[in-house]
Amino acid sequence: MSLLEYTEFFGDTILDLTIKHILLFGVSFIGASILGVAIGVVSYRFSGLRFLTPVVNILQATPEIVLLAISIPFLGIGYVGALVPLFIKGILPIMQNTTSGLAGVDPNIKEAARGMGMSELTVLLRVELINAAPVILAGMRVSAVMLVSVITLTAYIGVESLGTLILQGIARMDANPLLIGSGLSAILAIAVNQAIVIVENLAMRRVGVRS
Amino acid sequence: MTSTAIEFNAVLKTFRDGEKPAVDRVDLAIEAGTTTALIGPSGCGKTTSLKMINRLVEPTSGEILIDGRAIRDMPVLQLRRSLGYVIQHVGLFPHMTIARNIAVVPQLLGWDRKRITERVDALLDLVGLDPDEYRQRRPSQLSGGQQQRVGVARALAADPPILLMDEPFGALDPITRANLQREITDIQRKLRKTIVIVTHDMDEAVKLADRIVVMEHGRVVQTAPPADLLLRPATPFVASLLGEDRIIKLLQTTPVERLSELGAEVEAQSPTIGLEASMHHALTVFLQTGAAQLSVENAKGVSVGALRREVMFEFASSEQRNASCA
Repeated sequence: MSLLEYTEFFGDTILDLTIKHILLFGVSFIGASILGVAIGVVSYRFSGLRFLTPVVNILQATPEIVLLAISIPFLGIGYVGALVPLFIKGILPIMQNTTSGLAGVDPNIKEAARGMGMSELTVLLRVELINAAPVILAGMRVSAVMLVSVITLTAYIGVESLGTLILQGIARMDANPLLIGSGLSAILAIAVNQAIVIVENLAMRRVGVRS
Repeated sequence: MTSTAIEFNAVLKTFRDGEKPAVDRVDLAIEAGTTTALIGPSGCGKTTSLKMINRLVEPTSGEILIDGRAIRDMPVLQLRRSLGYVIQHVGLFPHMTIARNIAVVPQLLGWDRKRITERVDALLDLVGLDPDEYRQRRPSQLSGGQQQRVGVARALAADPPILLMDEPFGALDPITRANLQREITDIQRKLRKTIVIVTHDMDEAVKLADRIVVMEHGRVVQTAPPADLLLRPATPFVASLLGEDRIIKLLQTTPVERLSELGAEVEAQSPTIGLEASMHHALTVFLQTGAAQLSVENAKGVSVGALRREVMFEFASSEQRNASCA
């Protein structure tokens, strides 16, 4: 079967798996973004949490497949066991960039904002987060690209995604599903990357940084 | 009638236990409607003192009063919104237009949009920026001097009676700095704010301030009007801060009127000088023309008296003697 014939024959399955892949990505990315920014803000405000940094670094350096393997005995096979470790991994770059982005905001701006009588919350929302946005978005981009490709691994623990095609390809020594599965997830990763680059550039222009 | 706008009572600030205080039991009374310069070397406590007025820094002990009320008892955000604040590095918000930067405090105070728009335009005019041209610009599109003009406009936005300025012109080139200093003097003549300005530049202090507060190691060493300070520095430290050319600065602050002989006859063809001009300007004219006397004219250009070179020299040398005795 040629690649074209394979695509025609299994078109519905491919589409279905692609949608599932995108959904898995969407859920984990949005969740990771919200939690990542939230934890990042908290660890920026409370320097007492700095002791967490080495823990974060170790988690960051651990391969995803290892995290998945560790999660199975605790969280079982299926969505929960697959998503939780990815989710944790997705949080890290966003959280780190939020903390360093906030710390990197021009201290003069922060002082001016406080000196003019903005409340701490207003300073955070209207001054600090906006000016840290390019750095935070860069973290989100790292996280997004990683999640899109790593979601293929969840096929190992029974979650359907483009990874399912890749596994089939490996199991049957069939290049067609292998190429389609990996190709589509690569295209998705590039698309997501480019989309966030555009948003990043907008944010940079907004805060007066020339890219 | 003068009244005290800001009062420091035995204000002490220690940043870390056991360390030397950054501000050491400072007593200070700042009159309403005047400009006071806090001057001294880095680490003398001048900026800390300023920041205690808007409570960016809280005193360890002692109290600060504004219009007789202890600021410790005021809600901190309300206090800050009632004080204009200008900092050295301007700190304009890069993500907002010039208009929105100026509008920050009025917005925090809940002004309506029309009032804010009018206020922003009036302030841009006041600081010498064309509203139509600059309103919608971003801070990054402005030069350093223009940014600080906006910084001043922003601080004046809600018409606060008190303006706190922390080395406002420190990062500007000398020409821009001189321009802005002149404009602050003009603005101050119109608005009569109580201005507290931190600087390490004695020329700036002499130019802008009605009173100069010299600080060293967290303590106030001397408080005096510029002319008094130049004449009678209380300690060798103050004298060194005033510099070798103290006498020139003194001439800058002395008006021609003070040394001229009104009604005295003037030789024909004498160079002229305005009554309101500084003696420093008169010195320049003497040096340039080699004349022995100048014809002193009033604002209408009518000769009202003479300024003799000897009088200036006598004044300068006697002041110099006074100063070295002190």
